[in-house]
Amino acid sequence: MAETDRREFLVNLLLAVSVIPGFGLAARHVLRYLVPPKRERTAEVLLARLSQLPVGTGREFKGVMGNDLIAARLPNGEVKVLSSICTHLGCHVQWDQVAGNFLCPCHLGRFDASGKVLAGPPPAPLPRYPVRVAGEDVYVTVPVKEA
Amino acid sequence: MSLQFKKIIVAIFAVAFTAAVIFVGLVEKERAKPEKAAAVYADETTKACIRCHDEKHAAVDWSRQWEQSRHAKKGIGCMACHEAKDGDPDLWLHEGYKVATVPTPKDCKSCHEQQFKEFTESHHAKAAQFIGSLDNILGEIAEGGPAANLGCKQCHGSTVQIQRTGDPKKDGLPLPGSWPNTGIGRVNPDGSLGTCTACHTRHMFSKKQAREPRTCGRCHMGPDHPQIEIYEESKHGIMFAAWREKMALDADEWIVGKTYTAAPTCATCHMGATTTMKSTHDVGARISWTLRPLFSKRLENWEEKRGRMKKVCLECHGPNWVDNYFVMFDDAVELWNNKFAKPANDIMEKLKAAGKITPTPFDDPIEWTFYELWHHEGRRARHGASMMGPDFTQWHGFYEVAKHFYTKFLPEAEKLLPGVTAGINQLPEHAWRQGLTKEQIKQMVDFYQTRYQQRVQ
Amino acid sequence: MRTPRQVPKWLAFLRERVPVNIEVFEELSKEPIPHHMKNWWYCLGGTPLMLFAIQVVTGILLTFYYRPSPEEAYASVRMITEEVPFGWWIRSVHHWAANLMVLAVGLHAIRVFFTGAYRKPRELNWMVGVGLLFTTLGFAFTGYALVYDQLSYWAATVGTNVAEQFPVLGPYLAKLLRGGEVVNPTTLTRFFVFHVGAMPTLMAILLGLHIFLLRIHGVMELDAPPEVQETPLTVEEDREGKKRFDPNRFFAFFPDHVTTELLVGMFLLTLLTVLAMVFPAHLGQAANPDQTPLHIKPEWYFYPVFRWLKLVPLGVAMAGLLLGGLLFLFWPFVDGAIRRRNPKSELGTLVGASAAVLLLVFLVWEALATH
Repeated sequence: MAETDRREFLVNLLLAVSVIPGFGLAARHVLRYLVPPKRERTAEVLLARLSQLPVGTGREFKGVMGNDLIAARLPNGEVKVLSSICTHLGCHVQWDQVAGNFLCPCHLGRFDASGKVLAGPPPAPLPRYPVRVAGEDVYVTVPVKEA
Repeated sequence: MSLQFKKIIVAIFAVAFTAAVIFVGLVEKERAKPEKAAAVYADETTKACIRCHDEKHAAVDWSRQWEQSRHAKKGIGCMACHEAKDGDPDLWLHEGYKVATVPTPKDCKSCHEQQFKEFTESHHAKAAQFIGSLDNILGEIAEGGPAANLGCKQCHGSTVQIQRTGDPKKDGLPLPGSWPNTGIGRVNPDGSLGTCTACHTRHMFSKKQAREPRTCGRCHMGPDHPQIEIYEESKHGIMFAAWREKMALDADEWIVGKTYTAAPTCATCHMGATTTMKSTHDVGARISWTLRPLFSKRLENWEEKRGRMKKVCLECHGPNWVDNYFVMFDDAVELWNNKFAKPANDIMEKLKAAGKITPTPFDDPIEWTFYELWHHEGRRARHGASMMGPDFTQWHGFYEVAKHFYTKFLPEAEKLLPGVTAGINQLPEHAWRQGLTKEQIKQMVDFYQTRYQQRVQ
Repeated sequence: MRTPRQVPKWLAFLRERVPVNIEVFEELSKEPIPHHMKNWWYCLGGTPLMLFAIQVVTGILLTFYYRPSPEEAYASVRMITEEVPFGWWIRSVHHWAANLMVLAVGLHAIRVFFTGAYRKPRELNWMVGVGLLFTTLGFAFTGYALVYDQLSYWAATVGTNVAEQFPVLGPYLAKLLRGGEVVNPTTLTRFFVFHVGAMPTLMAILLGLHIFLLRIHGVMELDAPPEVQETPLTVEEDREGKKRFDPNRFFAFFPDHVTTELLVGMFLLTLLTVLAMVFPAHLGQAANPDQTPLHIKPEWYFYPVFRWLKLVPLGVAMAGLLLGGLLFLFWPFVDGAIRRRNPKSELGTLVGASAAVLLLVFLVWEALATH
């Protein structure tokens, strides 16, 4: 009697143990489906020609592999590329040619050319992206958010 | 089926399910690999071009091709090559954009400086510079302009003419006769020579396609320089055909001896990277002889160039093999030069001096015979020897050289000026015409007796 | 009745707030199942139920990313299939479970037919079952249209046009499906609402009814005399007054039958996952209302109807479908009438076998035909 009881217990245990991993793993897949992990892939793309960025000016580029960017050509000729989405509440920043920095029109937040917060409500600096200038061409390396 | 047994079966299926779900995870991992997902970045202008061209279904496949190109992945869109500035000779006003109708190597140069330099210095870029040559006279004059436009100039390159009549809709568009043209020596309106699209066909600009032997074969073929046919006859070509899938033609880094070892292609020997040399777009960098003219000459710095070519061979072959081959090749070229080219040329000079042929080329039949002798058969023989094509060296080459020399050229010349060919038989190479030696005859008789049991007189 | 000492505190807590007699559970879980149910054919009823549960789960997951407008539908399906992690798996399982569900429901109907389980007093349950079969087909039809590739668009167009030909109700039905005289941008949204809202509700109601009727009648005992078949399951009381059943004729719902169902469930899950990997769901070309593809074919389960429509003139075809449908729906009563006249008649079996063969022939014929 005890023997059959024990065998029955073992079989039940085997059943439970065999079923759980499969469902557990499937559940993990489903969670990945619902909340996709961040894609860290980056790509270097040709953003603009230098001729499109006269010294002192800034220009927004939307939808660069899913990123909205703003490029500024500083007085010393350098090109800086940052995210154009203000870190306060998501408005698009503009380049203030007179002041030489980025201004967010919504609540007057200001960022310097490196993205540091100078004034206003933004809580964090504007993300910056690596730039490579080759001859006339300005390349930027951005995360691939959208194919 | 007892309950316990059933439970065990359930457990087995549960394990199978777990295994299947694990596989699903692996498949997903493979699928999500970054290299597999292709991303294209099209800037606003490029998007606008594609949108309008798609809507109007105008020449639309270029956009599909561009999307597959490496340019698209790096965001190099339409205006990167097709942007025209005021004053550009090929500026065309199109739907509010200033479009350059003829992108040239100068445009490619902005990113591909090295290749531009090598290409422009190479013989390829000079392909259209044969105005005044015999070929040019043949094409334009003896035949006719339209023949040259769709014949010679399609490979060699035209001089692109742009419309300038004051009509803003049409000014900037190239004129017929000179366009369409992707000849490798094309003379462009901006002064540059050639076009990268001769080999890197637009708009995919693919390395893989450029590495295909057939790309070279578009022009390097035919009765006067059958390189592609010779290649396909050669063992190199056979190996390529048999092991194409091992050639890694679409690899980024394409080094013979490292990325691939199955076979060489045109690009491998004449341009490609080896384990000891970088690749180059100067196709003459490894060429020691010029096999083109009547007399083949050694080029400037020929030892250095020969050395470079040998380095490619040595990726697969041993030094004895390689050195011996080049000795045999050089001998074949010298054979042509000395036995056939020189005597034939001497005879032609004598005929000209005696006024038997006019200064006008191609108006006397013997001029055609002589031309074909060195330009067709003579070249085939030399090219066959250069690229291991035995049949081209022999039957399409030296056989026809010998046959036409002895049975056509000499009799024609003799007819025009009796006695002009008299000296030929005295030359040691041609002395056989006076009769075979006793040893040579015995050799032949014995051969036929042994092999075929025939008695020959 | 357990002594209070044996009842755990948490159970006592629950039982005060959910006043259900424990014996009811015991009776349900130990419910006698006739032995013939141990045959695997009898799992074909539970199979569609399990597949439906899988469809609900995968369907809800798909709805997280699917966008039901003509402009975005195809792109969203492409995104699910090619970009979202495991999206291809969820979609492929959904696709295969749909096919298997139609197959299982069809086989179940065949099983019920040839075992005569629809006979008095179970005729109404048969009719609910017919409703479930058509609802399943409706799910499949509306579901495929949501992908919005060429096949989706044109199959929906042809399908609604065929529905329009139905006598009397046809035009109204077609307009109800399409949301207009012809297929238009709201048609897709309408199909979406049917597939995700209206039909699941209908399915749930019919399923509830189907299971309820099955439980109160009890499973029909095969090979039992008519008076046994027509009365609820016999249970015998043992000496202690506890209700027991004859183990020679019955086995317990729990754990025996439950384990069988679990086995089928695990088998289905494994099969679906493997099918999803080996034959993943594809994506055709995006729907183009201006371009009808050369060969439009519906899904395989509509092949018999498709072939029938090609063989005879439209009026005859519609009449045939209508008559066939009504005969199918009211079959238990027709069969009852036949058997009242001649109790030993095998006419019913003959009719059923002929219908099954005909359907199969049409199906294979259409499958092999290229036009």
